[in-house]
Amino acid sequence: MNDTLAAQHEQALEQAAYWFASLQGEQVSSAERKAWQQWLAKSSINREAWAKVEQIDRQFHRLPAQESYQALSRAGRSRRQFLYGLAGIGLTLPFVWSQRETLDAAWSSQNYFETAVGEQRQLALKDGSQLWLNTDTLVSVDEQPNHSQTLYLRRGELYWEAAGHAAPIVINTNFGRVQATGSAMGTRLESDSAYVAMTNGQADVMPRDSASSVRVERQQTLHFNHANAVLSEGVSANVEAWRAGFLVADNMRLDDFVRDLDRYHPRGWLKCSEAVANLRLIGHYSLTDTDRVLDALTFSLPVTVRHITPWFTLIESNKNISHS
Amino acid sequence: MHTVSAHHFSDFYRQHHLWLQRFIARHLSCQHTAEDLTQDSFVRLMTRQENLSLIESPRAYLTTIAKGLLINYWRRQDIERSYLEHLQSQPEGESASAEAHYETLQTLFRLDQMLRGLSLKARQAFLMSRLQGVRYQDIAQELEVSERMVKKYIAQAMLKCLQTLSLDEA
Repeated sequence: MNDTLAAQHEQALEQAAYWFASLQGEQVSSAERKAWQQWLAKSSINREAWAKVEQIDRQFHRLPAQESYQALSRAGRSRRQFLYGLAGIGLTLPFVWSQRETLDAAWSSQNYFETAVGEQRQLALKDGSQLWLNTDTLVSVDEQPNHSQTLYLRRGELYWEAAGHAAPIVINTNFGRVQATGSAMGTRLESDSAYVAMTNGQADVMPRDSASSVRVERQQTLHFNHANAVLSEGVSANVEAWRAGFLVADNMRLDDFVRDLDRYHPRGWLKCSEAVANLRLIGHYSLTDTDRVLDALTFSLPVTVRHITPWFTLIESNKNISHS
Repeated sequence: MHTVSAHHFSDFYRQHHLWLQRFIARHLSCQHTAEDLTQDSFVRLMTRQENLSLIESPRAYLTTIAKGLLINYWRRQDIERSYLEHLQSQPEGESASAEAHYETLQTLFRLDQMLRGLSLKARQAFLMSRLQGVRYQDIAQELEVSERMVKKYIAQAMLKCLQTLSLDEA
């Protein structure tokens, strides 16, 4: 199989997966269904890819649902610690437990704040500090008196700035707890990790399953998950540029840029094809209209924007002649 | 590409198989399984067609292979145990044949292999949708993500399955 053919097959698989996810949803419009049929009619490669989707899906239909669900969702949990080594487990468990308890107790008295995709929002907390929520974010704020300000970041990204006096704050996430004093900082949750970026001040981050915390100083960024943390120097402009409605590309890879832009795109999913992933981008892009940013890309880079389904947009090479 | 010479391989085997078997046995309660997995480790080494003399640290290399096999083995054990436990807790009724159970387990192993490497939430979303027929909006609520994210998870999971399937066929 030569390279272009392999790329076409790979692309057809991607599209088939998106079509599958789309057609399984509850609201499938007749236009969408029609677009899918057109996609099928377009090439034998597409039909082959779709046949594989059906082949995989059939395997699920044949399974006893309840037993299989239990078995597959639990697989690999019992001995996962083998990967991390066995030392330290006795020490960390009691800690995790006590942290859970305090979280549960606090949940009862919380206010929730949510933003939609593409929306940003600013809030004043009761201690006078300011909180900004970025696109697609869910935060709960603990309103218990006599406690230091406590937030729970459940989804998305926030930026926090202390009031004049140096009041402490606690930001809980699924991956661990961030404690900061007199600071300005950004925190974002990603699917398998989170980060804390300190514009000012300092914070201590305690990964959920770890027995010790990591100090993050001014102009440092810490990526962490439930078990590990990695500290790096510097803070990306994008930690706070979104508050002013911008995405900053400073020699950024196109696939990273598109992944970031996707978070603000209200209509479905943006994806960058492999062939153009390495292109580099420089500039400030307004987040208020992601479609206009996509248009701008086609002027500055050798790419085209293709709307594959109403909710799936692919950025690919404009030298790609074959649109199978 | 190098091929493993038979002579060299048997030396290698003699030199390393005892400690490897001991290493594996430390993590298992069943001596018989430990022997199987030791053999599998060497078979895997051989089929990779490495030039054995190029392996700088044979112990580390074999340990890595063995760990992979152990993790595989435990995953299968988990799946099998959980499946059988759930079966036993069901009221007696239409009972499937032994072959049918075997077939089901093979399918479960294959699906588990396909879904490996996905994030926990993507895996969960896909299983809820495929096996329990949960609607996207309810999955979103359960996993505390947006509905749009659920759609992505489903697409990611399906793509992972498709790619694994294509690799197997290649």
